[in-house]
Amino acid sequence: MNQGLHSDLALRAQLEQLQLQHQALVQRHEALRLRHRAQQASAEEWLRQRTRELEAEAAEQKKAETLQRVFYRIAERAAAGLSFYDFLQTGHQLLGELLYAKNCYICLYNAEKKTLNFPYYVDERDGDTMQTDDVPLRRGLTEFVLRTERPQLIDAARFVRLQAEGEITEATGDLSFVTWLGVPMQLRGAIGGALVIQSYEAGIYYTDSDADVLAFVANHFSSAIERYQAIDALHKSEERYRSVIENAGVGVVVVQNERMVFANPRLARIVGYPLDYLLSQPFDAALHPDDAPAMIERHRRRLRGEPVEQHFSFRVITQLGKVRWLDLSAVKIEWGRADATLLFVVDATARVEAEQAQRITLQKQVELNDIKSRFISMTSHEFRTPLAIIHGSVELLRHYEDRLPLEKKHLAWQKIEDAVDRMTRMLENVQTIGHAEALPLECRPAAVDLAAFCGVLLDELRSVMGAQYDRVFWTVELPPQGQWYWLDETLVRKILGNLLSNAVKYSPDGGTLCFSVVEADPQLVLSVADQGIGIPEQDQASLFQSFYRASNVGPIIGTGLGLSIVKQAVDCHHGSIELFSEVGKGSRFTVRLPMVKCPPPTAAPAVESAP
Amino acid sequence: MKILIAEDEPSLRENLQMLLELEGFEVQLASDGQEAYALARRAPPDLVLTDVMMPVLDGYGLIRLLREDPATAAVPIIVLTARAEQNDADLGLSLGANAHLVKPYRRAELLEAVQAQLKSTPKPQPPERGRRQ
Repeated sequence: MNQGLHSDLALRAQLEQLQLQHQALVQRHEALRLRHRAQQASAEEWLRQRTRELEAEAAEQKKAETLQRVFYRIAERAAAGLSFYDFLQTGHQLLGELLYAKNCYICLYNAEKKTLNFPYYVDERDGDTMQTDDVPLRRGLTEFVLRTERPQLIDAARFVRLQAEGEITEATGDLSFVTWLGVPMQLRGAIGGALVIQSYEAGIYYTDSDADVLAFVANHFSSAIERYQAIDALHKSEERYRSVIENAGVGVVVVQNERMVFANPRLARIVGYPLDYLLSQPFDAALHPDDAPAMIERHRRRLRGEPVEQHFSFRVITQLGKVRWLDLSAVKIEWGRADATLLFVVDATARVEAEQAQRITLQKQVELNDIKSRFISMTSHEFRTPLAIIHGSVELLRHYEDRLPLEKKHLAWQKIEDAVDRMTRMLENVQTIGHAEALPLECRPAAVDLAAFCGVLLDELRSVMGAQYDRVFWTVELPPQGQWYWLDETLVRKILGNLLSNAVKYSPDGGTLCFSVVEADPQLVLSVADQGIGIPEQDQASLFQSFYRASNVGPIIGTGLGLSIVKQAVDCHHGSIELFSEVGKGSRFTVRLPMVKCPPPTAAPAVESAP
Repeated sequence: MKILIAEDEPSLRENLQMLLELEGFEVQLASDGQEAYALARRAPPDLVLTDVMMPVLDGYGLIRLLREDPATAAVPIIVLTARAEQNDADLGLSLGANAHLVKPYRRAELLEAVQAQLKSTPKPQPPERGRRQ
């Protein structure tokens, strides 16, 4: 029986054990199932996660590629020589490929002046309100970005908060944006502006990652803007230089390859030709022909690096044919990577003319001094001789009165008289020239019967010169009597009177004296030729100066005035005088006067009253 | 005593001639330097009075020739010049003239200079030509 009980108990225990085993198995199964389910779920999650990650990676990749492309194109556009505005507009379009950028503006900040300007401003609400003039800083949205030097993403709620905090109190424009995103731009190492986009669309929010993208774009804009600003500064400085050169008071020219490659407007005024003409011609086109060869030579020497004077004067002839004096200073420069000369030109006409006038005055002074010294030397010689004669004669008369035969006494008295006459005549001549120099001779022509006039003149000469007159053999050739010429009788008398008396005076040994007046239309040629002592060549050039006498006159008296009077009379009569002479053989003076024949004055009384 | 006068101005020459003859000198006349030199060479005078400015050969040329020629080298020379410049006088003296007078000179000055030259100069030639009067 035990066995039964025993076996029952054993069975029960066995069952319990089995039940426990089953429970454990069920638990294990459940655990396994749970584990499996958990494992399945995590695999799905992982897969989903991974898929999301891969998707994001691809988007990132695509975005990066787009960014890359956009940045490349920004850089490319910046170098394309667009105007600043066109560049910013293109940049805006490219930005639109990365972000929603319907509304976009760019602000530039001048830290020095504390001002802003808006070279680009596109807004669907505000319109295009580009603001290139500087405006003062305020407490607005843009200024908040500049002040914080950080990207600022602002939605309506944050805007209210910022206003409440006093960060933004002076915002302008349409402020009903959904989000407003502004990033600072670095220009030359400091905050120099801001790039801003905003959306008014309910569904479009900007995010922090958008801020990152915009910051990248702003960075690329910055370098382009820097370049534009640098070019602008260069333009401005070039403009300043250009304005200085264009408005300079001196002419500025650059000469290269013997052409003007640059010239300022002042040069055109100085040279008296239009600028285009000067630039289209070889650079010596307007030069005075006398100065051109030296100028070209100097230019070439300067280019060869040989020493050349830096400042000099030269002449140009203007389009109107006027001669102008220019002062020039030149330096060698490089122009378009080749040698050139830079010239500064000043109109020196007034100065040179003043100098010339001064020189002429000085020359006149020198001439007057010469005349004075010649006068002194003439008087000291010519007056001392008659004085010595008078003095000697007086002493003879006084000391030897008792012993002097009568005829010797008469001779002495005669000598005194002659010497006094001689001095008187010389003084008269000096007075004549004095008058002539004080009052310029005048030419008042009238009808003159030249043959009759010469006849009278020769008679006068004979009575004045006495025996001397007949010392020479006269040959006279005159136009026919009754031929009238339009001449100034006083001037012709001075001319012929002096030439004829000289011819007689300087022919101490006689010889033939040829006097002729012949017509050589349109001139009347008066010629006086002698076979006297002649005039040394070295004296001929000065012979017509007052008080100048040839070196070989010896005891023949004279003041040195006759020929100067002749010369003045000839000039006054619009004629010319020519001299040919050889020492010991004689002299020939040829005077040419304009010939105007006219009827006798009685036949045409109107001539008398003609002006 | 024989005096040679070289003077191109006839009136001055005549006055000099009259004066010196009245003073008892024998006078020879020449109207330029060349003529004077020719006369002096032929028979050297006791004294030469010469003008400066003369045609053909001037006073300086005459002085030079007289001084270069042994026959006339010792003859005293007085230069008569119409020019008052010191240079002219100096040039004449440097060429060998013994004295210098500026025109117009006084009779007394001239005679004094003539006497002085005739006295101070040893007679170059033995035969003495005494005064005619």
